[in-house]
Amino acid sequence: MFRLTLLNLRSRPLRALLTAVAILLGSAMISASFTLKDQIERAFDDIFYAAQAKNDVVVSAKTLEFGFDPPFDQSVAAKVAAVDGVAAIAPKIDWVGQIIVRGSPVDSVGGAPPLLLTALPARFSVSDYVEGRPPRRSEIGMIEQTARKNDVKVGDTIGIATSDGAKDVKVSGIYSYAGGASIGGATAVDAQLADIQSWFPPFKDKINFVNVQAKPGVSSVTLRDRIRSALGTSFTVQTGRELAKRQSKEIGALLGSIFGYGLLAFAGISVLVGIFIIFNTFSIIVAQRIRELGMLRTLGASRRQVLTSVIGEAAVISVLASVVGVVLGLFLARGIGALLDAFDLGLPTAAPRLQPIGVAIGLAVGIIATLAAATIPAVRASRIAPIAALREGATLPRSRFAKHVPVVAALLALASAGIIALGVTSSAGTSDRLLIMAAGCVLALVVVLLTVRFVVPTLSSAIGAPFAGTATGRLARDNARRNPARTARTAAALMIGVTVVVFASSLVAAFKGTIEDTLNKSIKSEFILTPRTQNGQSDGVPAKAIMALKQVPGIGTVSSIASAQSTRFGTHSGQLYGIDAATIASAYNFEWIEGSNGTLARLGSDGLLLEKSTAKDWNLEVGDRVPVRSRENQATALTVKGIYKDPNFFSNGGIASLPVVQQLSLSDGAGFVLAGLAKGADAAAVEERASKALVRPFPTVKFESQAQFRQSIADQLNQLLTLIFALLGIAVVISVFGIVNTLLLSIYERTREVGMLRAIGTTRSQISGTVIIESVITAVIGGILGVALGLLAGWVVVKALESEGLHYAIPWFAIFAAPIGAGLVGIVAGLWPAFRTSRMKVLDALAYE
Amino acid sequence: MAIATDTVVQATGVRKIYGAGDNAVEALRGVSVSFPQGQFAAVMGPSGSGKSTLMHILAGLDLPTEGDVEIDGTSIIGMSDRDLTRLRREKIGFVFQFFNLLPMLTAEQNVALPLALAGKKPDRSFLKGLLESVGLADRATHKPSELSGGQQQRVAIARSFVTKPAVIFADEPTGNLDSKTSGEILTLMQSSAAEHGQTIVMVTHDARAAAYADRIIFLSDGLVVADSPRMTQDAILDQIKSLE
Repeated sequence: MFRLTLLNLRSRPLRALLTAVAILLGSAMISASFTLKDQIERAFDDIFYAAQAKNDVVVSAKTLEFGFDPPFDQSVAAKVAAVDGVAAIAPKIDWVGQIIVRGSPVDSVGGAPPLLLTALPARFSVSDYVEGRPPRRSEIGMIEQTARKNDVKVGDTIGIATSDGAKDVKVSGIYSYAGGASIGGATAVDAQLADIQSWFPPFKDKINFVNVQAKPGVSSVTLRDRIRSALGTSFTVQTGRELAKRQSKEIGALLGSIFGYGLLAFAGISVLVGIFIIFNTFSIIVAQRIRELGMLRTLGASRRQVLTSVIGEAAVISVLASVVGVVLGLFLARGIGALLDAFDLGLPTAAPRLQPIGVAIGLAVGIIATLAAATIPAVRASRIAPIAALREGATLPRSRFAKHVPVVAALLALASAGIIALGVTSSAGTSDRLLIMAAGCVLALVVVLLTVRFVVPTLSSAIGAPFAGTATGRLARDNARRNPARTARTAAALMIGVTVVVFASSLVAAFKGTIEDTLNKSIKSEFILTPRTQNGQSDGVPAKAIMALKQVPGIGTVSSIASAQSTRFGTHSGQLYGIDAATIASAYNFEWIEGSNGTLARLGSDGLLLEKSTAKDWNLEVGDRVPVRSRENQATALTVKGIYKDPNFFSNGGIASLPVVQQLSLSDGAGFVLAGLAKGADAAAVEERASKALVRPFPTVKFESQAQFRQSIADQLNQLLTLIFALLGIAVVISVFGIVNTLLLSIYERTREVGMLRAIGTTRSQISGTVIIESVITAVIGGILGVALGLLAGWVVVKALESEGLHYAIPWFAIFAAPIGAGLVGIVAGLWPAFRTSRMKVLDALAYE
Repeated sequence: MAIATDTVVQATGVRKIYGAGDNAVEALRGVSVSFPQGQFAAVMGPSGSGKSTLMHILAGLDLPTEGDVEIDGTSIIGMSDRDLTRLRREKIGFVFQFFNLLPMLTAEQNVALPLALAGKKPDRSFLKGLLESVGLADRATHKPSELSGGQQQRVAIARSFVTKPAVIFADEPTGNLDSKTSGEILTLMQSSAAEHGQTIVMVTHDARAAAYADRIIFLSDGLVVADSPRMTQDAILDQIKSLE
């Protein structure tokens, strides 16, 4: 029997190949996800371990939060130097400093911060100068990649963004760092410690690391323990390796997981799509082989042998395809890496290496999914009575489950609606509600999958209506309707991709709509001044820029807002915003729960305003006193004086006065600045004047009108959406193969029909048209159902996030674009089958049996 | 202006060679034959005699290697696929052994299919009349799966009539039918030729079927070996025996 299986495969190489592609791409995607995750993790490992290679011990301030290490007094360095066994120390600051080349700021990519590092003495330095020499005062050394990308040469003068605005510095040399040309996507420069301290006033007499080397014979662990006992508990004292491990874990593992598992989600979608196609393919293949299988049964083949023959075919295809797939994953990983690069999300990657876990999961999923998908049709094929199968026109028996489908689907639909309703009305926490709603959506998906076949005839007629004026169009429509289950499965494959597209679009539409509403409702100011890069590591808007803005004629009230991220409020972590109590009321509309605009005047240096849901979550009320500690390790205590509602802007935390927050975050600048328009001033003219006054001296800030601000947020969201679409590409490609495969197999069944049609005068282009329209109808069915499911899932998830301030907006663009996109997919998928069909030799087709 | 002629199909010196070199097989070795309007002709011969090849060439489904074929005064030699397709659509009707109806269309829609493909709107009363003439007036809305084999073949015959073709080619039209139904179908074809002047060329190996034809052409080894007016079934069988 197995020989027969192999013969079957060999006699239909195209069919086997098309089936294999569906499996192959899914496995490749899984393998690629793990490969990329590993590449990212190893790349960060390499960087961090090499960076600490010369340090036996490193001292930093104790911090609870991930991010740049908080500064501490530089006198600590002397204390460290005095510890017995210390050979040398190097105090330093690693901080953020955006560079400005030829007047334009250079952004890091991949979410990396712009690095400003301390140039260390030779015995500590891991910067190897390939050109020039290390920086002296008012000079910087630049990492190779940054210099190369921006065409910076030794001797050039560039700008560096400081608290005082851009400072001109000369490039003294170009270096490779820890043996590499780059530190991820970060721009990086080295400067003298004294320069860094003078550029950023909060760092006056401060450092954030002390690197230590041990005397010969003193182990790094011994030295670590000695320094630890000398400094006490407010410092983190680690060996170089420990620090590297911590940093690598914090950054490498985090990013690796985000990207790896994110990609894995897309791989999962691809596999799901693949399963539909494999299931469909085998259903059709088995249906076409009924007579052959029946003949085998009459010759004495057992049910088991028939079953084995069909499953054997699946097994051979799946093993070959999965093996090829996981290997191709290596190349796909490179492709995805390039894709991320194109979206400025490029991360450092080590050479790709096949991951055993990726290989194992890729193979297992590929093989198991295929076998599972082939087993159902195989079992049904083996249930045919041998004689029945031999009759002309014998069809596969309906599954025993089939007659219960309507009832089961109805029950599941009720359950799904019930669960979603429960989620919508429940007062549980956001994550619980999300889980409830997700369960409801999965059930809804199952319901749709079970019932697609029942709506296929209606949808085919509706979608085919524009083509029904011609015989070609009517034939295509009728072909799409004649085997609803088959059309349904083919459409379902595409539907899954479209669902995700519409779902993601729904979320983005909700975000955009919410931001727009918030801006309209809460922000009274005409203009917004923000840092150019919003990666949380930027130094914000410098104080001098705010001063310059205030002097622009026509600018009304200017209100600075500072923000301290990851601030500890007692045991909770959240955002602390600093406002200028005197001006905020003219820039921002408070929605008071407790207190009033009068409360602002009483904010003082210890007042705290809390957001409503934060106050509820943290169980705080007016009058409570809260200890506050910033990421920069500065502490104070604040008293709750009012409660406001704003789930979007000043959310997830509270508000204190500007000086308090500036002191906590060691910055005299602002996170962003709201600026009004003076009475009677012309908005366009003021905007132009302000832009002129700010852009050149302060290249790290962005001055925008509300409309522009809104647009730049929308642009960022759209870019994210485009990336999601690109990653869904694989799933869509698989669906295309699914449609191609189904069409080819269906047409193969109808060969004699095609012959007849050609004989009685159907032209080649009419035949092509019929195939392509059938393909389009199938694809658009998938598109329409995908839109419906995606809208449902989007609405449900936004509902669950309503407590976070999100509210639903209809993603109109996706609603119209998705079916059109699906139609295009249908055309593409139909082209080749159409060509093949129209080229069939009339006589061969007529003689076909 | 073309001279009006009785001849609807004219083949002159038709040769057909499949393959090339040593593998070349000559299926037709110079066949000249013509069919006048209104004739119900049968082409007979053992398998491999070239009868199917001849029909395919006469019907514009295949092109001869040598020789000329004229349908309704037009030579098909050198025609593009598009022109041949158009010729088949306008001038030729087909009836097949396996009926070849589209399962998702009703009887009436199947009959109207050639007109629909030509982008013409079929006249309802004309279709009704056609179905009536093949005895299926009450089956117009039935799907093929709801019809018997004989009924399906009647639908196929009505379909071949629908474009009022110059000639209808029938390829073993009774090959899949029992003898009683076969008789009905053949009578229907016979009367179409006699009463409506419809030219019909039928390929068959069934002597009983050929006995209904006005004229019987015997092919053997790619050549016409006999061409005779109506014969009885026994005479046909004798003729076949003499060929073997």
